[in-house]
Amino acid sequence: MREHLQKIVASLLWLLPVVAGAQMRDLTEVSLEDLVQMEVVSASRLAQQVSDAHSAVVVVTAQDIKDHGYRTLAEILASMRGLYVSSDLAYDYLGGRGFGNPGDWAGRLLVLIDGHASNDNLYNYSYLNHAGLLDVELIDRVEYAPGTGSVLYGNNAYFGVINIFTKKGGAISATRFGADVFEHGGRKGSVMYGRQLENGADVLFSASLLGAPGQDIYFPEFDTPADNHGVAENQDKKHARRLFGKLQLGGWQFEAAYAEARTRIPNAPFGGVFNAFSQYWDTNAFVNARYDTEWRGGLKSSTHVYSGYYRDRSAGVYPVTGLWQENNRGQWWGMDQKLAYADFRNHRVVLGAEYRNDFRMDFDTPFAVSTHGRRTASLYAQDEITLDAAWIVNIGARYDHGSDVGGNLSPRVALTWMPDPRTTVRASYSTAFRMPAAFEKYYADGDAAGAQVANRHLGAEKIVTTEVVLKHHVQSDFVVTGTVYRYRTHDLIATVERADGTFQNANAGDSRANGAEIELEKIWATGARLRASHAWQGGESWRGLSPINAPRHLAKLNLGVPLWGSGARAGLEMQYVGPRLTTARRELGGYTLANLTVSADKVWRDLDVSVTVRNLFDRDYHAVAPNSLVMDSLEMEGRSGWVHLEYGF
Amino acid sequence: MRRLAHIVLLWLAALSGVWADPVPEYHMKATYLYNFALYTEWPETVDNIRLCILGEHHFGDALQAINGKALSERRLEVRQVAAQDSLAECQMVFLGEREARTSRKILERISNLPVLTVTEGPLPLYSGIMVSMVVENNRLGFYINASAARHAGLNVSSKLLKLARRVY
Repeated sequence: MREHLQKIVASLLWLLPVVAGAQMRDLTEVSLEDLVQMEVVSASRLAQQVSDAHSAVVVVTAQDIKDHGYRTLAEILASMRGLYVSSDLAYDYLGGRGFGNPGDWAGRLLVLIDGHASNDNLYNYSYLNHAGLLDVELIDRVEYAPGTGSVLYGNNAYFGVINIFTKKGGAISATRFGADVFEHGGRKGSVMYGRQLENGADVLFSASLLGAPGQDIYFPEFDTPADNHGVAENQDKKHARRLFGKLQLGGWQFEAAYAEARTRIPNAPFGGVFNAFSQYWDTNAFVNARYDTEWRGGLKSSTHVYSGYYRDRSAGVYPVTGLWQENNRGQWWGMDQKLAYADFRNHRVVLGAEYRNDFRMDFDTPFAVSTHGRRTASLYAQDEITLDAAWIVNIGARYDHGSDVGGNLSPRVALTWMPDPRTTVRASYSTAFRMPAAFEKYYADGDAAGAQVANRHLGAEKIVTTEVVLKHHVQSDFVVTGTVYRYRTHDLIATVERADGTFQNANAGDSRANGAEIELEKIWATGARLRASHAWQGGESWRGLSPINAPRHLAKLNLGVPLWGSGARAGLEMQYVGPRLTTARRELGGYTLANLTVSADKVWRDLDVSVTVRNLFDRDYHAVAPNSLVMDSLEMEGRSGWVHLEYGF
Repeated sequence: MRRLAHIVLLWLAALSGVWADPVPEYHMKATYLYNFALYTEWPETVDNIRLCILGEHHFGDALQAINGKALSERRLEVRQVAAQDSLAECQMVFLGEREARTSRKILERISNLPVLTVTEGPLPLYSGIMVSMVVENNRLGFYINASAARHAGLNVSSKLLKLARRVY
């Protein structure tokens, strides 16, 4: 399979001169009045990344989202070097860098929306599918910085940081209506308003509704007369609604988001009754305000005040208890103050302090009602020292103290060498820690065998990473990135079975992961864009075995090209996921998926149309199932389609 | 799997018709730099207009198209310079987005000279940079900090002020 992918990459590579050869006309002959009206192709992907990270950042822009018809954050992330997504038909789980056990990444990946940490405070989960906080149409770019981001971001920035930047209202300058139709009768409607007002205020607002009626799915594991011969009838319905608003004026920014999703589960998790009601109902919301200013003398200040809300109203029918309903709630507020000063000789210093109060972490299940809270105080500092034109040292540290888990210091050091203006080599050593999620520490749903019991002694887990990154600009619009890394975790939090048959989260042990990744990115003057990557990973879980759901090889290819007409583009995406182990330590075969998108802008007036076919060749493939399911692997969607229409006024 | 290869061949067909109307961002930005030089009143003592590109940039070969171009009686010369170089010989200085944020000292050095400073991205007002090019709605626009230009003794033409998206 890999051989094939290599062949394909090779055949694409010889096409490149064809694309690159297109000629440029002499634009200096054109009047400035005409120039300001002409369309430009943005080269933003290869521009300097915004994230200040000493790691090999991957960037996906609005153009990529459009070219490849991504609908969710999970689809965006699945296109990135070294990452893959597996689904249990309810949630999407991210894997990469030696960690892939569904759920492993739940609280170990920080998702920032315009700098605001959006993970909930019960599971510390970031919602990657239709339950996520943002419609993809709002996204300007997504940056994924692998590795720890603990100095600036603290808790949850453990395996990586995902930075989502939303568009500016002024860049939309319209009211846009969207209508989508997708597989199994799914529909989505959205409205987005963006404008820069006369007084300089930039406004962005959006609302959307999604609904899918569900389908009949056959699960061989339940094929008995008592279980409807293994057919779950319309048990995968989905409903989601979202609201988002942003206002920027001067140094101020206000942002608010709300997302509510009801997701029916067809595969009877946690021993539920098959083909009976089972639903996850997640509500996420936040509001935040930020004020950025620069004082005379070059001292910059950024003040961020935020508040968040999460509610989990999952319910399902179980053989013994009947209808089991939970009503778990999380609420928090916090404040972060950063100061940056760049005018010392050769130093760029950042100092900051954050206080966060998770004043509500409450579980309300038929078994127990419990209320919890956590106050976290943090201090951090970072200094970037330019030794000479070629060498930069970056040192930083962060101290966090959680009221129920104690304190922890996370230092980081990175050395950057730029032997010539086109080449950067970075070596970094960093440490991070993660406080147990409220769910891991406090949740309990019974005391009989199979139930989860709380662990009030559960402490933080730690990670030490070393990484060397090489980035070389072959040309200004052609970049090669290579990276080699080593991760070591200590006191990793994992679910273990106890002598009485109950389950509990514990600081189970140490694990390790090693790997290497390489990526090529190129943009042609004609607007064609190529991204190709290969990632190799290996490691050992805390049990001393090969890790679950961690393919040794991952390969990606993303190509977007303009078609004959001026506004139309086509996007081809190929993803190879190598063989990997299931929870029962069975090997699942590797697979290659191909997705194709054709999009055209202004087909009629301001109507944009985009059509995506996912799993173009109807490849039969399986995802590793989490522990909560009876089955060991789950069959994934075959060929499926999505049509998106958007009209602007 | 062979089908995948076929699809790739189909792409050849798509790619061969690839000449698209949109202009690459940095070719357009280079053309704008030429126009900024054209529509600025330069002191009479200046012979040719030297455009200095400071530090890291993404123009690639796009600057070749404007290097040596005639500006009525003068010519435009493009030079790549480093932060430690003297900027006294430059009539225009272009700083990439990153440089604009980090080159305070350099900007202070030239703030009283008749040097037109140009950057890209949202204009950091405090920086005193005079012109910034911004991609909005797939069009390249520009902002002008007219007071900073006046302060440096430069006169930008009314045409530039009229076509600017914003004037400060």
